[in-house]
Amino acid sequence: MSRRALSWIDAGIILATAAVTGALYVSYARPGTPTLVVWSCGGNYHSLDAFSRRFERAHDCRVRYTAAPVQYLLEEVAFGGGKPDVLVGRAGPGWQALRKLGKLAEGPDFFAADPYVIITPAGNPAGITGLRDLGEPGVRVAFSPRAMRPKGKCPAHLMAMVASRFFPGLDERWENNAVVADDCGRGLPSAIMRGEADAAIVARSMLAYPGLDPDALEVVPIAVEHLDAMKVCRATIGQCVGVLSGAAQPELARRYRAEMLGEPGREVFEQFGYIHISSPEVHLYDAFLQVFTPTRSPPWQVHLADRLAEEGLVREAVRRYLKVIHTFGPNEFEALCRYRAGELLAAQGRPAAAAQQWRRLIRDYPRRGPNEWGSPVFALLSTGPDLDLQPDEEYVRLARQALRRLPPADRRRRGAAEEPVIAATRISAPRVIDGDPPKNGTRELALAEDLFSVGEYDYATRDYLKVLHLCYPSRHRPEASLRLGACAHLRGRPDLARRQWEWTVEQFPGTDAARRAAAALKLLGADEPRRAETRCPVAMPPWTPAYDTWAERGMSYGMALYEHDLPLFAFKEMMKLLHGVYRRHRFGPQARYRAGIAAWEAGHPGAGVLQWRICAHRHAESPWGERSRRAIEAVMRSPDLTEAQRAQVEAAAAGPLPAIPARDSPGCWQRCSLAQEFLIAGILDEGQAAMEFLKALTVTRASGGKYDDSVVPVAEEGLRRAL
Amino acid sequence: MTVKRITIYRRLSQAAFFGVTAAWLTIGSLRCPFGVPFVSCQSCPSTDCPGRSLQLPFIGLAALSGALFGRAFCGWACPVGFIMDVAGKLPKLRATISARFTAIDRWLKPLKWPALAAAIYLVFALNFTEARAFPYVVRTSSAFNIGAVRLAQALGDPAQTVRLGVVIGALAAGLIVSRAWCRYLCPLGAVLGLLNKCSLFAIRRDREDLPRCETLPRDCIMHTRPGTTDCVMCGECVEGCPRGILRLRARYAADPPTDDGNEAPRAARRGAS
Repeated sequence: MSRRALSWIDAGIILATAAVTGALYVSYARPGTPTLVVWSCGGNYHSLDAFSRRFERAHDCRVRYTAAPVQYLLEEVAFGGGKPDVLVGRAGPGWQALRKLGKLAEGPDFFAADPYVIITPAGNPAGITGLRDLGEPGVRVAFSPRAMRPKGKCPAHLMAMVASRFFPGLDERWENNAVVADDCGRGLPSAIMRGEADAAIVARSMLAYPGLDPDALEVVPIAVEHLDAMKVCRATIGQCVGVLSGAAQPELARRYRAEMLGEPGREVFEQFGYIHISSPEVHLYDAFLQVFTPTRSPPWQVHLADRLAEEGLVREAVRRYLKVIHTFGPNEFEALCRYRAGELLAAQGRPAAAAQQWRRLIRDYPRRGPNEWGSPVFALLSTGPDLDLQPDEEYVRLARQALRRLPPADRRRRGAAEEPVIAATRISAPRVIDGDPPKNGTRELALAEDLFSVGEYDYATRDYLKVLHLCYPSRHRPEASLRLGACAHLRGRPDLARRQWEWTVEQFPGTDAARRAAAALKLLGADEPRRAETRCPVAMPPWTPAYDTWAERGMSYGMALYEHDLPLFAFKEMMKLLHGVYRRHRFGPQARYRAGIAAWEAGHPGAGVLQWRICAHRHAESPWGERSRRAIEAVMRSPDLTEAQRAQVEAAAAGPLPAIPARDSPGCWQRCSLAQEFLIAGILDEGQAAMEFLKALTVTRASGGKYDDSVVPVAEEGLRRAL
Repeated sequence: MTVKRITIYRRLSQAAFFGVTAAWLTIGSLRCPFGVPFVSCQSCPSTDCPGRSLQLPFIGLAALSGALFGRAFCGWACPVGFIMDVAGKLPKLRATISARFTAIDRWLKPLKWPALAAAIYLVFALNFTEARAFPYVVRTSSAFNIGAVRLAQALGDPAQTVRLGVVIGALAAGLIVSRAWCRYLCPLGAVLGLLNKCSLFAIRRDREDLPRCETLPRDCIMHTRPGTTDCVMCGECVEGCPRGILRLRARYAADPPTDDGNEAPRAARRGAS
């Protein structure tokens, strides 16, 4: 073979490769054929791809089909340059935006439902019958990280909501049972098929993914009432289709939509696991077949924080700004909140804490990449308060300026002066990510760490205790318990610190937290002052922590606050129990009695006696009523009272009983009644009464249309008195 | 134009691997949802991309070929290498490798080490973050769907646009400098290049007493000599250099006897050309 021939062969190979590539492109592009552009939600990919091929064959056209997360597609159509002919996807708020902007020619029409189900290996070896079983000891659960939307986020949200409404602690137990974490979520059915886990929550359509053996899986339906507990993720169940106005192929687009809703659609979508709109079974899910626009809480929370700051309730305002970041994050207000928290701390004369907030702002913002919360769709549909929100970059710029104004000593990073005993308990704060459900301890721990870092040890104690009690059995409990000891130490209560660390060592053996607690105990030394004897002549009855119901959790949390020498907040928890925040329960008389002791300990003996009087009057037949009567007698006889205490006690024991607010529903009235209890008791410390009235006026508006405007004059009057 | 027999075999191999990986390469370069493509395929939800099924075999192939033949993967299988070779075939745009360019080339080649360090950093910063939220996975039934690329760019992280810029830049550079990407920036090439120093087989002078090949590095596509970390083991120098000077040989095999029947000097066994 000559060298010249070889060179032609070389060129030939390259040209042949190019020719094959070009031919493939031409066969894809089919020049001259009418082209319908279809965009859909990523989850519909397999079914829509099959449907589109069938449509191409039936109508001699080409469907250029692309799938991506539908919220971004909707945003691209509404505000970007996207011009598809047909849009398909779950029933999120973007559809509402398209309708409002007049960009929909037809639809959105629901063509199917895709509810979540539990899948188990064939034969259901773990005997799973419903969501509750996923939290049972020994059940092996497969799940996907929450950052994965919707396959990770929505099951976590579902479990959190079901835990909140039906089975307290279920989401934490489910999380603790996880043995398989599939990064993408698509691998969950395969993991179950292989027997690596006993159960997983997946969308019904995932069972039709290629490569799965339907006989190797068993499906356990999820009760509709459990699905109905979902808020943000309920939009993933209803699947809809819309034809865009200005479609390049309007006739084809209309036919595409009509066939999706008709028999051809039924044949394809049922094959891919959906419940088609023409199926009688779909009516089970009627509540989900509507475009869903969630009411967003973060703007109202920022508004509340602003109001708290305006009214001079600085500590609560700082906590609220940090709550916006951790409890309600991630969201578009984080940089604003971080900046304003810093401003408040600086105005309070705490420049080092302010600098710490501003440094974090400069370090963490602006956030990278696209996000759901920053969508202009929400801005278009917003019904929240008017907030002067600037881009993150602006707050970063302001934070830099503010830092430059601080004295150099305060501007610098802190940490070198930390006591060894505190350094021994340092943990890395969890970072809240999109999809973290409420109340699984992650958000609470992150908030507590932030409060700790700005020196708000009382408030940090509250949130660490939430991890331990309200979020039981959160995987963050050991760290929270460890840090509680640190808080107690810094609050000047080394006796509480010792007790907490000893408890940590005992309860969480083998954990890093237990090792650190043991190290902290060694550093603490032996001679520590003990807690002063209780000032109330009546001892607080013991309470054994219990977590089966929300009321038990609330009581456990309240009593833990009391034990950590935060009686004001213990009183507040008792009031929450009395006004239905922890749902229905049988602890009413007991909560009232304990509230009396907490009120006394908080420095309001008269309020204590008033609580016992109310208890004795309203629950005369209850043992707690009898205890209350005896408590009043005991304090009246007590020789240890100061003159001021005696005067308060006698005044409270003599007057007429006040009317107790009875209206506990909806949420705005619940908060208003709670605040009125503070007013009745005359407890205005820490602005707790004012804050609850402000909640009745602000954040409870984000309750999805359940707000009662008649609360406004009552709450405003209460707020005026509380301030 | 002088084209050698081994070029034909190599080109056939490259074309075959290109055919197998073209969709993966296209999707990875243009709309991979991860910041650094071709790394996180096993956890990627893009079902239309063949990366999930191709990645592990390709890692295995690169590792095996690396252990046996050093950086031969780059010369014989890598589809980017194929594109770079084809781009380098457009003679009007290709710069003459002048003496001056040789000096610049020598300075630019170590860039692959910072590029490797940057790639490792970016993998951790962009691909492995817990907060990464897969928002911009775009699926389509064909790698040819240009609309999907536009959508991925519109929805995606700015890193995607930077990546697209790097892809276009590398192609443009490949038109001017033969295998520009492979020479200066390829992180995989940098790793495999290290194996050139210890692979089981190496291109070596047949015997230490033979003269060095005079056509090298001028005629080499990587402008280098066998045994260096830049050599892609294409083998063209074996055929291109005067017969018998260079051969593919087991690195640790004893040298054949010299013409006078004596054992070759010890230094020859180290594989230098």
